[in-house]
Amino acid sequence: MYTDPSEYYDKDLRNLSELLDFPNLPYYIDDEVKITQSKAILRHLGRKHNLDGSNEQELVRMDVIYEQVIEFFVALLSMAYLPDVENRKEIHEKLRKQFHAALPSKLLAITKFLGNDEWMGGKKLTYIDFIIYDVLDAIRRLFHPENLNAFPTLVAYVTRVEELKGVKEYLASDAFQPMPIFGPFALFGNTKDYTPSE
Amino acid sequence: MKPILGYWAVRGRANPIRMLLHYVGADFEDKGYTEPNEWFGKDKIDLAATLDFPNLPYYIDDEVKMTQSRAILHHLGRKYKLDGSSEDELVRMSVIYEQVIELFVAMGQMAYPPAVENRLEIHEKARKEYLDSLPGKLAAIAKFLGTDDWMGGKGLTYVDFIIYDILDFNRHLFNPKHINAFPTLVEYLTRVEALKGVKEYLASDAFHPLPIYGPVALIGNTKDYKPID
Repeated sequence: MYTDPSEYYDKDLRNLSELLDFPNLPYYIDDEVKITQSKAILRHLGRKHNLDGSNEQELVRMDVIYEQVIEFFVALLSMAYLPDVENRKEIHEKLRKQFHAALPSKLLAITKFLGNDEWMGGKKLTYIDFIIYDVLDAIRRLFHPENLNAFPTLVAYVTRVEELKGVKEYLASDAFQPMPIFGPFALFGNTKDYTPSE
Repeated sequence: MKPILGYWAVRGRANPIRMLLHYVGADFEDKGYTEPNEWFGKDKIDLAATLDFPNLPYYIDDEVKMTQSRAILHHLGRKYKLDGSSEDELVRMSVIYEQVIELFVAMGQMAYPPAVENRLEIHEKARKEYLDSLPGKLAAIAKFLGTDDWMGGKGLTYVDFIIYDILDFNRHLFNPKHINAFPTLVEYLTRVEALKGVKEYLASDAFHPLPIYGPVALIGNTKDYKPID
């Protein structure tokens, strides 16, 4: 885990540029692959460890929910890292309020989609569940937890992921820090003790 | 039932889907919404019970009723055997897709900056950053393709239709010289355009390279949009 930018940019990047087609963080290197792009890494590991969908219906569900939920993440990223203009704080406030206002209806649609299933694909835990978990958890840290708590099935889902053997131990360890979500120069979620305002 | 693809009558997110369906010779209805009210006031409401996340584009056939352009393409890729078959191919497809999607996201944000007074300033900043970094990004994509015909490294896959469209956006939103500086990428684009089914579609009235974005976008929002840099 890189804590110091120069560790990556000044030291490792030169070597990694030989190994990686598109040097970037995160990267994943093992005996089979040397790749970047977090989604590509997750898809590869999903296939490798039997955490991919096993029929067309599951695969479709996985893709649809991923695309829906990733829109959240893209919106959060955009409001975290705005261009360097004078009124960037004002723009950030505006975007954040807009996002917060739209949150209930979006979370409702996700709740309906999950329905009575345990996992987003349907019956089987897949790599997609780790992505969806992470975005939902980011939302309850960047905004008041009550926004997510208004949807008990989503809270149950998030808890279900957290109780998975292996995951539970990791989340309880020092290796996992829920915050910061974004880097030090982000406009929110950028410190260990960030507190949401809405 | 005849499959139906619903989207705005612009290029936007639908063209790779259209290209794939024409390539495989599928008989589908290409429903293009020209009036916002046709969608927001009517079909979106009618389809609320059918679609989990009512949105454009949607794709409905005997098997699926779905939204999200990438999910639709992935489904059609599996359905029409245009998906990768080896781990190597699948990894390559994922990696290049995620890389090139970053260009799509950046162009989209440039086209639709936040609704604030200085949105033009924000647009200009984003545009400059984008064009400054474009040569390096295109060089990496060209290197990744290498001497292969298709991005997966073996046969044509659904990812090639997405990569084609996003790279071609750059030839219409910006001066084509940026793309033309990479002959292997130009060859790749030409290779996609020459595919049977695709060639006829691109030459038809059903396809317009522009507009790419809707009328309120800052770039690529009209049929005869001219890039400035």
